[in-house]
Amino acid sequence: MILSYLLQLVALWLLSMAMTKHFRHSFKRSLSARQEQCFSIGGWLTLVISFISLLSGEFPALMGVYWLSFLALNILLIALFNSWKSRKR
Amino acid sequence: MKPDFRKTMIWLHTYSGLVLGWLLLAIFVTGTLSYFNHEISQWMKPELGSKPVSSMAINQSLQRLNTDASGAINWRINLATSRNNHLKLSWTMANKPKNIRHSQTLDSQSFQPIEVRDTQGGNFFRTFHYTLQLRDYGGRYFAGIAAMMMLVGIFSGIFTHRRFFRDFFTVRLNNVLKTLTDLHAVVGIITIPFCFILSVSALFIYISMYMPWSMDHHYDKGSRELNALVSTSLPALIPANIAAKPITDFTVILAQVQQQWPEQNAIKRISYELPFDANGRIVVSRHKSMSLSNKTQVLAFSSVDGHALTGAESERTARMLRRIFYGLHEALFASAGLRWLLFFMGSASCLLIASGMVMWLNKRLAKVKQRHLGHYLVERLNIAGIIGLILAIAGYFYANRLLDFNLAQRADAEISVFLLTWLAALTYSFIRPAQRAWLELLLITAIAYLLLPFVDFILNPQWLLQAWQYNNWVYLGVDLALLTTGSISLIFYCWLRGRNN
Repeated sequence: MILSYLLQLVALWLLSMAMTKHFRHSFKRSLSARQEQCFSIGGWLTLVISFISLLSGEFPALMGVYWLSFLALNILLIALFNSWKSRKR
Repeated sequence: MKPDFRKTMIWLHTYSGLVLGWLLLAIFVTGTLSYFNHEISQWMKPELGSKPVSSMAINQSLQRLNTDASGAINWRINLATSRNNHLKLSWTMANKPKNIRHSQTLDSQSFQPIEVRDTQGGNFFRTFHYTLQLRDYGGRYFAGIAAMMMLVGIFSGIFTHRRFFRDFFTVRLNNVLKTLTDLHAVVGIITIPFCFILSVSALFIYISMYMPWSMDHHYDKGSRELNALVSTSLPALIPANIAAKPITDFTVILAQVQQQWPEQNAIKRISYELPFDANGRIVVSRHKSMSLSNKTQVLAFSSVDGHALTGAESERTARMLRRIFYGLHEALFASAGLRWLLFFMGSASCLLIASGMVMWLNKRLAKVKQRHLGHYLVERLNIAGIIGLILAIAGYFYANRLLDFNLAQRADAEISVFLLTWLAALTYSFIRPAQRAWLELLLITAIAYLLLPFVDFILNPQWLLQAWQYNNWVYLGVDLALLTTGSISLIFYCWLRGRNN
């Protein structure tokens, strides 16, 4: 469960890095089309792996509730992290 | 002229939120607190103490029932959990014209009866969030309308805040109103699944009240008859009218139960039906921690020799679907970690609603030179609806601790204090300048919450000391939550005062 949570957090960070504004704030350079593609594919793939890793165990329906709850928390964490980064800059 | 779809959606989002925002906030705040219903109840019944429940609880309870409830037509043992620490026995004596029901709360170690204060505890928040204390006056219909409006708010909000999907993961921190707008959008997005499931399941739970026409058309007794047809339960118990002694050593049955339900502390309740009849039955109910459905799983045994009896049939798919929605709404399946996550999403939803109402007012006040009555009303209702509600909850907790233990209808008196505190906050918000009212009510709320654990300690130091001694993190956790709420209120007070200066 913890692994799934962490994978989801990484996935959302990768997806946010696929956006020009957030990438620039984090790495202080522009995002190339290839990098955008890499972050986007990596993000979605990690997100799917996190989902499958949680649902493959016992009680998949219950784990689905956990996954959606993690998603809410992680989106907020990434949003606040990115905002803090941009403000720091 | 073709109407602008997005503008229509913005209008719908703005005014559906405004009209029912305060009602939705009250429903969401009390509903969110309901995730910790049992924990709040335990704190509000400090006489229960903090000692861990003895493993002999079932057999000791059965022996007590055998002595105190001899000749009863049923016995029931509600076992204590770490969440409620409440071991309760009840039984019914046959009587004409009406059977008489008795109940007793036992100390979890000595198994002697104890007196517990009369309170609704956390259950008040649960019932309030769907009845609004107006059960006989259409409260559940108002809650249903609010759930429908929440759905409208969710869908229209997706179109209203579409910019956020483009600038995903962005919260602008350089301007208060922009921060509030972005926070409103981000919590709106993260709570979409949560709010959607809660609103839809709320409508599902009372679907027979909101749309009774089809059932009334097809069945003479409407939804009652339909429910009886689709629900499954244990076979009807036919008395043998032969006297028998019930089992009072539960060990044999416990072994059979553990084979079927291997998880720890699986049993929630034990009921004996006709315990002194040769056909008597023991019904063991399982905790709902293993299934999304709110249907209680049961096992049945003979009360004479303990052999397993026929159980209930499994439910039909449609019925099961409704039960899953019901279960998702109540979240009785949730472990402590998941309950905190749901509490977080509930709190985020409250922030979503409250920020929406504050934004509505501030955006309009920034544009107008002269305020009109609508602005005045929204401004005052925002104060009473947001901080007034938080203060009223503190009032409810104070009433629990300060009202006389033997006061008649004590539980109702606690609820009256909650409602009167809220009314006082509403009145206060109308008689004071808005900024002053915000500041003063925030300060009163902060002081009220910060002092409450100390008041609790002064009233009876043993409650807290025992909780500390036995690592009762439910009791200590509620105290910490009160201190946290007080601290957050104080931080808001300081921030708002600094901003006004």
